[in-house]
Amino acid sequence: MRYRFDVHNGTGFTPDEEGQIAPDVNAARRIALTSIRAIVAEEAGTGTVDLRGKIDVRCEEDDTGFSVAFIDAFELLLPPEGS
Amino acid sequence: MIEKHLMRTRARHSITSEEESAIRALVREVREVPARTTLIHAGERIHHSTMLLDGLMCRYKDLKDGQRQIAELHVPGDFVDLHSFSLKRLDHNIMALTPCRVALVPHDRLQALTEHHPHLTRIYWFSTNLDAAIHREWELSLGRRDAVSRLAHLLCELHSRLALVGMADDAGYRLKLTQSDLAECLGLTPVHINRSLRQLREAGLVTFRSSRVELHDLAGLRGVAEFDPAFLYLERVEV
Repeated sequence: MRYRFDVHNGTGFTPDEEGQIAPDVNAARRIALTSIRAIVAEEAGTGTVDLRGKIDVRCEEDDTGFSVAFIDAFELLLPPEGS
Repeated sequence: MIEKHLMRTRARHSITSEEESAIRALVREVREVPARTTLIHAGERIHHSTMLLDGLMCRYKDLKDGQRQIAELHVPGDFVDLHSFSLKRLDHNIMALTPCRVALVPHDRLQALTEHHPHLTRIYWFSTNLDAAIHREWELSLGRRDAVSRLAHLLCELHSRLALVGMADDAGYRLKLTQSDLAECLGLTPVHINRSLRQLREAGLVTFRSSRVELHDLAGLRGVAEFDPAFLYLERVEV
């Protein structure tokens, strides 16, 4: 099935006009997670980690729609406050 | 039939009518190849080289989990695996990205060419060196350019290579690739490609939509990419 991955983040809204083929919704979620990690990884190289975005995943064939928040693509290990 | 190959060759080298006849005589047969077909698999014994007449092909390698890295794109007029003449098997695969028409050139005919036409031998040696130069430029992109400049560089490269065979002009060119194909060329995800295309479009440089690359500001696009066509050796050179 063809899923579309619309990105909302600090650089604005990027609708996905082409989409990607995935066998099921779990595979589509994995694509969203991989995509978020790739975007954030490159931005990190510029010194900014902006986790306020999300990807809206939609499939016109089975009427699926869900969102994956950027922050949910990571396990955050932060130093304790005051350290 | 091999007009684009001759156009590409003549853009860089002078060839005589006798040499042109020798090149035309290389072709044994012409085949149609459906899109998304791996024409040559890594490791298989090869007895002919493949000249691309129409369509787009690529060299790629992949991992067991299915991740694919495209190492070079081929446009009409290219020999996609001239190096198989000496290597006899490839360490990579050759795939048709779109419906393609190819000409098959038996290695024994290439062998005879090297024995009777030393000038054409040097021209084809140049051609494999050119492939290596393109690989080096892609290596620089994959290792050092950011996503936007990496994408901009590939669009500039394709513009130069397609213009050489009369398939691109200052306004743009037809490019029947998907964002997933571009992602596999550039080591990015399709979502990242989509976002990078948006940035290039919003900067007023280029639009890629409906299999067409519209160049709005080629100089600006080249600036973003730090594109220097020197690696394509577009000037005439006698070898």
